[in-house]
Amino acid sequence: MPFWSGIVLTVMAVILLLGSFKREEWQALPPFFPLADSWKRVLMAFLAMVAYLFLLESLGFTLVTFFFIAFLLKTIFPQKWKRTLIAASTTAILARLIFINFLETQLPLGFLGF
Amino acid sequence: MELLSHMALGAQVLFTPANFFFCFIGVLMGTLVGVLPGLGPTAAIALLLPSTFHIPPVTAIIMLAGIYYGAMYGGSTTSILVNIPGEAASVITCLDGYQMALKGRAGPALGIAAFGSFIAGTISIIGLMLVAPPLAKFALAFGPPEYFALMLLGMVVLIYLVAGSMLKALMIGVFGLLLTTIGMDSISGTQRLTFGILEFSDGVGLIPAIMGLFGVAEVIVNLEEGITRTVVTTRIRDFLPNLQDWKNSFWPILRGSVLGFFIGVLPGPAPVISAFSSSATEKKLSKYPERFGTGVIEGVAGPEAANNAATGGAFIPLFTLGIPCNSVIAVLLGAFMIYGIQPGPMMIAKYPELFWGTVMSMYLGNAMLLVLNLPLIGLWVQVLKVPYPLLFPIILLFCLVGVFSLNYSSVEVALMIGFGVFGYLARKFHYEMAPLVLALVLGPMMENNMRLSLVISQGDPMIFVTHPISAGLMAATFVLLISPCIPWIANRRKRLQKKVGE
Repeated sequence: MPFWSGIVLTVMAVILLLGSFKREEWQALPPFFPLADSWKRVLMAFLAMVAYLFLLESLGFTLVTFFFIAFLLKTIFPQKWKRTLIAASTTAILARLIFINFLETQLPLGFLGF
Repeated sequence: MELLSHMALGAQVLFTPANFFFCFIGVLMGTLVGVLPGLGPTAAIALLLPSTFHIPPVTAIIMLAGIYYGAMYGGSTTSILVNIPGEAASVITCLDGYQMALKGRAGPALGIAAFGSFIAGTISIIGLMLVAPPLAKFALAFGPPEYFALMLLGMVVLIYLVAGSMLKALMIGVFGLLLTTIGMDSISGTQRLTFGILEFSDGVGLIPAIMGLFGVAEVIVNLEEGITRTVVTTRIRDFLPNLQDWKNSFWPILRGSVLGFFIGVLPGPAPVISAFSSSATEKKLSKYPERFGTGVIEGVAGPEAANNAATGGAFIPLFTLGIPCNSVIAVLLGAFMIYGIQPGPMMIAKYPELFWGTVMSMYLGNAMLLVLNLPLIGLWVQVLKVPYPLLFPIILLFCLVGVFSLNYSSVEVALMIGFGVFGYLARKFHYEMAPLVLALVLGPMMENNMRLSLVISQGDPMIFVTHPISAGLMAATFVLLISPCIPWIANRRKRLQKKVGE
């Protein structure tokens, strides 16, 4: 089954590719990103998630959540420092209370132990 | 009489404090995600799934089902007040609903949407009660070849129905099937395509895939352009539609309910399609079709009834055949399996309390939504005012934590991010995600049934066409697959899509 689905997929991809060569609307295609700085936001969001994944074990849930939210708030649609810090710390504390204390999810606590 | 005793059993299950409470939580959460643009019921159910592991399966299913139909209610609120459909199924409600709001008639629009949804929800639940048990008995005659043929047909129908290029939909479906072959082969026990990664021997997880495709990808697409929205600031009063409103809406609601229910049974994004078809029907039957889109109440009542009825209909294939027909039901199927319950023809007989409890909870849930939605509209409007820049990091956080807490596995979180990238790119290149999700859910079952059939027939593929039921299903599949090659049908499909697109 993997073999045959691979073959079928390849054949369809070739059809699609040939079809797009035949079309003559190259210029009509809209730009990939709707705004000039869109790519930065997309990249930052993905980077933040990857960083979250790598730092979760060592820093612990509460701390890494704080940094994650603060980073996103500050970089994607930049907020004022005061608002960023308040929102990030509220989210981190609430998330900790909900997930670890209320739902008893086994999330890593990190080297500081919280 | 039998039906009444079953309903009594369902009520007995439902009226325990815990089930009652979780039904309430479910519809509340559902309305919330329905109100929030950029977070749909699929992602919401996937998100809340891990938190249901330490409550009994019945309670969990009651809550998760509540999220599904609750989201349909919530979606209509945003369509009417902000002209932003919180849900794809409410796109059509924007047309007349928002116009009504602009004319100062937001109250009756919200009111008729809620009442229409309630009536439709009720009708579809009655349909579910009447249709599901006999259908389940019929499905007992199904063997592996019939199941394989049915699932194949289900996938092809979905691929046929999705908007845009059918070739792309077919590709994404086959890609999904390919992904499901990762992991241990269920018949011979060999590891396939795992590349030595231990976590992959169980296959690609459904939840990380759905969270990536629907949660993360959706947020990222929204990030490209900041979302700005303005809420209609007129005071909302007089939720009760007047007598003339009721007169105008009575038949649209009834027609929408029946239409929605039957479309719900079919594979595909049923709430969306049913809302569109209801709107088209009402326009055709109306004495003043030219006034549609300027704020007529029929344009709100019909589609809203239809999309709610469709949610009830969508449960039928799940409860009777164990086959999901859209991505929300697919996640629910995944949930059933995690709780160790195999939905299918035996389910109603084996777990009557689960089936009837869930059905009765939908009845109660609809009533709760009616009571909840009208007085709480002010609150939902406040929720809409939470700026997206503050909201999206929290959605992403929920995705990350939700997936991590499933198995405490970093590999699955990485997988989710990967699916997020894939889903984002697929959206940019106009690939539909629904066939991929259906393939991920059905793939393992399809492969198992296909190989069991081949074991029965000692390797002879003719088994799929010599059994009468499976032969009929296979023929239907074949016709759908080659139909785009026949110009007459292809043109009709295109015209239909154009109509829906408008």
